[in-house]
Amino acid sequence: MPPAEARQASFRAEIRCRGTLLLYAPLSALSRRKKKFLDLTGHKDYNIGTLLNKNGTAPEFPGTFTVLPARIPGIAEVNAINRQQFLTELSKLLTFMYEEDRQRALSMYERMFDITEDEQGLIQHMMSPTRQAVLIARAYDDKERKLSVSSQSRGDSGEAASGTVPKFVLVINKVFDDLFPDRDEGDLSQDQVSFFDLGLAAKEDFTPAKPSVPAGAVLLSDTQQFRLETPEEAAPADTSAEASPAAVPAEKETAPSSVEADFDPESVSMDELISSLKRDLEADSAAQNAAPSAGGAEAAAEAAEPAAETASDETEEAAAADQSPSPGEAISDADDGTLPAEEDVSVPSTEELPEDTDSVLPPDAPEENALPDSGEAVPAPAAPRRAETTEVLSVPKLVLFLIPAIPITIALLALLAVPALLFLGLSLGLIALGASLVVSAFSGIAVLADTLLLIGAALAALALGLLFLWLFIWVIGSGMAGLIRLVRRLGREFCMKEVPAA
Amino acid sequence: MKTGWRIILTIVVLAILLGSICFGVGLLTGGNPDRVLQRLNEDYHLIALRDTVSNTLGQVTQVLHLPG
Repeated sequence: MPPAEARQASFRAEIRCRGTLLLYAPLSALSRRKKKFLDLTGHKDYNIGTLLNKNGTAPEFPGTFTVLPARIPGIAEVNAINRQQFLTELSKLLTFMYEEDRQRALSMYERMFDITEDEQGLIQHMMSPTRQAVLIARAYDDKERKLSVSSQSRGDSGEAASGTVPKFVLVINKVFDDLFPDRDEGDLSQDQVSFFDLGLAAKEDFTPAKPSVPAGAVLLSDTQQFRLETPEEAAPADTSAEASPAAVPAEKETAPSSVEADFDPESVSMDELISSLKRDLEADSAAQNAAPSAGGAEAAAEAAEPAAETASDETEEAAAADQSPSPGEAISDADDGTLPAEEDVSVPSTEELPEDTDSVLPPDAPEENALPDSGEAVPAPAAPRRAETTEVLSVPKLVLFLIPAIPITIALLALLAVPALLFLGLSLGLIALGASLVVSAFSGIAVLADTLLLIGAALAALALGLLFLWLFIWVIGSGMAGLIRLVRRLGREFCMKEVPAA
Repeated sequence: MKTGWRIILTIVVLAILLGSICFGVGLLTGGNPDRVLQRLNEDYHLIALRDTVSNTLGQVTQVLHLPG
């Protein structure tokens, strides 16, 4: 490969949303023309909602996303956080929990790392500490845990006192179940607390499922598989039999049906999870705008909030220095992954950048943007699981909409035309007056002081004329065009109906 | 649009400031508005124009009052 091409291929850009890798493409395609890149990828702007909706495979996170640089070997560098880093980051993100709960959650994740052989695969499946923290935060009930923790401090047994298994434990158990599907289903029914939760997991060598499937897809499919088995069908747990006889029955008794009725992690589909995450993130954004202090769930998301504003500014020049062929060619380039990339080239982003460079989700990006063969750390994209919908025009609704919309729109346009024409007339008159004054000042006035008077008046008249002319343009451009856009949008919302694609 | 507003307002404010300065300097250096108006009247017939406008407005007012 020629040096220039090799250099091109050695830089790739990740588009992430809160740690979720959405696209993975040559950096040059972004650094040279961001718009062009988005056109290449089928996205017309940097709005993350558009990006994800068009993609159809990634969660619909609201808000910001980021474009981060990565190198061909660097993708491994980005991915290669180890167990210690993962747990440290997770520990930071879980500071909203009570200390007992936090330690419990961390110990459960440590067990996962103990069990697995493929540490990186496990990390990839869990996507990122941020994601895990959000999952936990979603299930974490401050009030419930406060009661539980206080009862523990009085000497009661935690779940025995409260009568419920903490929801976050169930969530982590579910993560475990998803990661080790062939391990738990025979061992653990849904209404049992995992042996893993009790710290009794056998240290056998279990490797998570292959990382070639995005974690979301794995999560969903495993959930479906798991739900096929009823608790009665599940075989008795071998390892739970090995567990302390006092502990396991207690845990069995303390997993009441109320937990299932209230929160059933097995029934949480990917879409529900995404929507819940979306709500959380929106709530976090609102809370951050309203008040700097926040409660439990916000702490996790706040920790995930970016400090990457600094990155965007200093990246423009470095990215511009990265010359490349056309983006399309660059995307199709094979990655050799051999060249060192000393420059810390970044790509400017248009919005705030979440800083979560510790892990990478398997790209839900279009196939041409996925890391080619050398990207051993990035699995291949999976087919979208979300049900696709199409919009169908409802003709009766359209007629019903047009009947009142047309006269109302015309009336409003006429109403807007009155001030517009008034502004236009005023502006033309004032500009004509100013021009006349200027002409008079330099044609028939002999006294300099009088000339200055006329020039002053002419300048004022021209300035006001310009102002009224702009007001006219503004009323036409913003008022009328905005009104038409509004009517079109309302019509679209009223007349179009989403139906599942055939 | 925001950029447009910023640019237009800047130009307008600057022009008005400059015009005010010119007007003030003209007054301070002996400029006479009456003389200027007289000169403009010679060029543009301002008094005749004013009379025409006032007459037209009066007629319009009369027309508007007739039905009442």
